[in-house]
Amino acid sequence: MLMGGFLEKDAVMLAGSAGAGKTTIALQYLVSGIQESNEPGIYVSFEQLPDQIYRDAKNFGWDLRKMEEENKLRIICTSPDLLFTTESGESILDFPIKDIHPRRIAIDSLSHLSMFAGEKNMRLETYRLISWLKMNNLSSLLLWETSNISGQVSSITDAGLSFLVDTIVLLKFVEIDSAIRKGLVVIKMRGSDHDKKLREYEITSKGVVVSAPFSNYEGLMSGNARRVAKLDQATQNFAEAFSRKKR
Amino acid sequence: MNFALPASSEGAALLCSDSDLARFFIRNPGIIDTAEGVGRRLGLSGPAILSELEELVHIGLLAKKELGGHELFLINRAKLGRLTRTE
Repeated sequence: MLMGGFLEKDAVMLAGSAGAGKTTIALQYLVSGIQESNEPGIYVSFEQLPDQIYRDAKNFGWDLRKMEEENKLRIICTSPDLLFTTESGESILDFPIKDIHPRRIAIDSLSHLSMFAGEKNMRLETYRLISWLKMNNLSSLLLWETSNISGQVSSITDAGLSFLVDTIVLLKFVEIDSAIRKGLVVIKMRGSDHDKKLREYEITSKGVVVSAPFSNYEGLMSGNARRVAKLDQATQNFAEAFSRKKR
Repeated sequence: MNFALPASSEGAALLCSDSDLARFFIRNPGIIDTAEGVGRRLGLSGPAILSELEELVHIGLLAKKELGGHELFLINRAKLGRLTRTE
């Protein structure tokens, strides 16, 4: 979907409503970085305590405590207002960065930051945060909680943050045949081509698995999914209907 | 419990003591926050836990750092490592 992956030092926004799997994807992003690319990472949480994160990650087979003991990971829990850099450019993230020299960071979530920054200051604070992360050579995954669980989404954030990030991945619940399924789509990706299709994903015992695009349906993004017959099948049905001999 | 029990007598003493704060930081070593922030997560006010936080800094379990006018408390990972290392 990403034609090779996120670009280094890019700020990626992962937007979705509660329960969509943002935290799981963020942890998987860091764990993959550690296990596959030897890239240490930091997870910043404003709400969930580290103990709970360790417990939930075990369900996917990820031993986060062990990764911390090996200095490959830090699960940081702090108050949102402390993440804003000081006038001298110091940050609370200086502590874990000195510890483990990370390459990746996930921040859960920008929505929490906006509660402290306020709508007026949020754009400026987000711009400063992203600039600081890039200056410190960090590829970032910034979580954003959207308010709509399903249905049409007219804007990703209500704080005008979409233009500040390099990539936006949107997670959506879609209703098909009275069942709730999960879909994800890359909305934008600066500097790279990307898959434009809405693909289904599942949260499995090994983490998030992305599968094929939804087929035979349209209107999934609007919340009014409609089954659409394939064009060639429709053409064939039409031809057969008019070639039958009348009795 | 979901983490290794400390093997040292010092670690056991901390856990078995009345120090909810010590246990809280050992279970959640990534907490970096002001007294107010830590207290909020425990349903307490900053002033209510400040003296206990200072005591934990005094015995070396926690470190105290200043940032942007805020006094932050965080675990001393070297001490945590000694406490949780199995013999």
